[in-house]
Amino acid sequence: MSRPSAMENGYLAIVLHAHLPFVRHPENRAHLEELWLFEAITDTYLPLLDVMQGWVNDGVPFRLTMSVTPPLASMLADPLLLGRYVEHLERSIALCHEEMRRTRGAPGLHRLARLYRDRFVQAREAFLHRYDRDLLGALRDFTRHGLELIASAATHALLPLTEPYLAAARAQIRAGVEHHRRVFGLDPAGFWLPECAYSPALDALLLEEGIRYTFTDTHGILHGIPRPKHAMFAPVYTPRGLAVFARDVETSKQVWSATEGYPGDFDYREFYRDVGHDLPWEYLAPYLPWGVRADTGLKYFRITGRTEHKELYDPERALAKAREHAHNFVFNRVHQLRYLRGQMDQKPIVVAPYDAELFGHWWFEGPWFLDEVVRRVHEVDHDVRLVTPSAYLDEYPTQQVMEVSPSSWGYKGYFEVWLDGANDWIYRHLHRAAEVMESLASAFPEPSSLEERALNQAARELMLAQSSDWAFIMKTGTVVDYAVRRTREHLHRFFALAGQLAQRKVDEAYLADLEARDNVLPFVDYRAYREPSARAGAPALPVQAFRRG
Amino acid sequence: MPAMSSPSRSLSDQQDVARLIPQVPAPVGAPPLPDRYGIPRLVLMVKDPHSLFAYWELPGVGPDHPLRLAVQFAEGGEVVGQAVGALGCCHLNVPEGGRCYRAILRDGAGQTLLVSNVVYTPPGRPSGIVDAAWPCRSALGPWFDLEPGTFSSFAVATAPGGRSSP
Repeated sequence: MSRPSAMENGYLAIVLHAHLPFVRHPENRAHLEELWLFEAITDTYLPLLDVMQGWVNDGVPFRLTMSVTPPLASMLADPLLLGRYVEHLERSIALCHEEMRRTRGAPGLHRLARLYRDRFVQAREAFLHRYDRDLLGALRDFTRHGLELIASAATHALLPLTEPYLAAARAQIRAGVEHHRRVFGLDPAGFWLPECAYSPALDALLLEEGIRYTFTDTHGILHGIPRPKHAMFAPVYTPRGLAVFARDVETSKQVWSATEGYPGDFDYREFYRDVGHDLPWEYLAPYLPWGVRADTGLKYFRITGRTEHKELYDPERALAKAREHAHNFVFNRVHQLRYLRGQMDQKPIVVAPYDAELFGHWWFEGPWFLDEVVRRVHEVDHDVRLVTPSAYLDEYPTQQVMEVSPSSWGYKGYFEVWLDGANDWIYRHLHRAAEVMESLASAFPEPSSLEERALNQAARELMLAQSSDWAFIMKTGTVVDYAVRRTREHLHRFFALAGQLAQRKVDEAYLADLEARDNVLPFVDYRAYREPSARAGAPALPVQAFRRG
Repeated sequence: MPAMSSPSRSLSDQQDVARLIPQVPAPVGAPPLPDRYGIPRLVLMVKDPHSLFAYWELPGVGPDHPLRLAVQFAEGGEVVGQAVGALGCCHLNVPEGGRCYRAILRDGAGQTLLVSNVVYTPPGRPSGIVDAAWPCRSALGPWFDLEPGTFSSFAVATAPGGRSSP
C-alpha cells in the first residue's frame, strides 16, 4: 500500500556494499580463503535475498541501494566456486547431524545444532532450487521492485592511492561500470567508491562513465569548500556535476559504536565462539578439508557480556532484541528527520551505508533487523520514507556545488589504514605496474588476438594486486602472509606478461594458465589505460573560485 | 643531473616499455618484489590532512652521496626537509591541511634532482568559506564538530575492550 509523499518529514537511504576479495584458488582442492565466500553466501547473501522476497510477497514497497563488486560478482558466477559451495553445504549439514548426535543429552545445545542443520538445509534448497545457483539474477530481479543496484571499482582499489597514476583509477572505474552493465544489464546511476575513499580527481572519471552520484563519509561534505548549507543531510554537486551523498553519523554510530552499537548486544550471537575452534580436531577433521581449524558456522553462544563466560544462544530472545533495535532505529530516524525538516527548506535525507556482510555474517541477527526496519517504516512510522539516491535527486535536482574533501570511512577518516608502515611498501610496485600498463596500452594500438588477451590479463593481474583488501589485512594483522603473497603474485604475473609483450613473445600456455586462475573481470579492456594520467592530486577548481561577494 | 617531474612522464614506444620492466624471469610462487626499478622517481601521496608519504629512487647515486628530501607548498616555501639516501621512503608531517604540496630531492649543492607530483591534502576541518547563495543553518552547526573516522569498522575491531562482533 502506498502513501502520499507529503506525510513524511524526510528520507532514509539504506545502502549496502557487498564485497569480497577475489579468493578463487583452482590450484587447490580446498582452499581456506574460499570459505570467506561460502560463509558470506550462507550468512548474508541468501538471507538478504529472503528478506527482499518477503517484502515483495507482503507488498512492502522497499527502497534499497546495493553495490556488488566485480570480484564478488565474478565469484558468484563461477562454476568451480559454486560447485565447491554446494560441497561446503553438504559438509556443514553432515557436521550438524554429527553435532545433533553428540548433543543428544544436552537439550539446549541439541536445539541449536538442529537449528543450524535446518539453516544449512534451507540454504541448499534456496541456492540450488529457488535461485538455481544464480544469486546475481535474483538480485537483478529485485530491481523491478525497489532495489537499486550500483557499480563499484573493478577490484576494490583504494582509488585515491592510485594517484598520481590516474589512468589506473580510470581503468578501475571503467571496468567496474562495464562489469555491472554486462552482469546486470543495467546502466548504473550510482557508484560505490571502495572504502568511501574520495579525492577531487575522481569526479571527472566517474562522470566519464555516466555515473550520476557517489558517496563519501560524513566529513567528505562537512569539510567541503564552501561550507555545506545542509550539513550531510542533502547531497552536493562537485564542480563538474557529480552528485555526492555523505554518510550520516547517527546511523553509523548506532551500528558501529564500540559502546553503543546494536550488534554488540549481549543477547546477540557471539561471532568468535565457533565449534571449529572448540571441539577436538579428530572430531572436526572430516568436515574441515583445509587441514586446519576454521569456522564452521556452528556458534552456540551469545555475547553474554565482556567476559570469557558465555551462555547459550537463545534465537527467540535475539529475534526480539533485533526487533527492538529496529524500532529504536526507526524511532530515532523519526525524531532526527522531524528536527531536520524544521531546519531545512527541502526534505532531508539520512544516508546509512553499511558493508552488506555485516548483516548476517558478522551480525547474525542483522537481516532480521533490516527486515523489521523496512517493515516498520512502511507500516507504522510515516514520518520516514525510504528512498534511493536516484529518486532523491529526481525530486531535488538543484543542490549546492562544492569541492568535496578527500576522505574515507576508514579509521580516522582518511587513508591511514591503507598507507602506513605495515603496507606502504606496496605502492612503489603498484605505481610502477600502473605506469607500465599505461605504456603497454599505448604501445599496442592494434594488437594481435594473443597480444590482446595478454594485455587484458595483465590488466586483470594489476587490478587484482590493487585490491584494498590486501593492504587492509596487512594493517589489521590477520592473514598477513596471504595478503602479501597475493600482492606479490599478481605483480609478478603482471610483470611477466608485460615482459613477454614488450618482447613480442607471449607465452600462450603461461597466459592460458593465468586466464584460468585469475578469471575475474571477463569483460576488462586494457584500452582504458590508454588515456594518460592527468590532473594528479590537484583540486578540480581553485578554492578562490568559491569566494563570492 | 637534470630535474624531472617524474610521475607525469609518459612513455610511448616498446623500447621504453621494456626498460620499465624488472629483468626477472616469470617467477614460481611469490618471492619478494625488486627493491628498485632503475628509474628516477619521486612520488608523493596523501595520508591525511597533516601527513604525506613519499618514495623515491635515484639510480646511479651511491649511498655516500648526500641528498636532501624537502617538502614545500606548491607555490613555494619549504615546510619540512631531511637527509636521505638514493632509495627510500618516509612518512612526513606537514603543517596545514587544505594545501597543495610537492616534494623535491636535491643534492648536497642544493641542485634539484627530482620533483614529485603535486598533492592536495584534505582540509581536516569545516571551511570558513560560505556560499552566499547557500547560507549555512546555525542549527546544523553541531554536526560540523564531529571527529572524522570515529565510526569505522577498523576502529571498532581494534578498540581495547571493544565488543565481540563485528
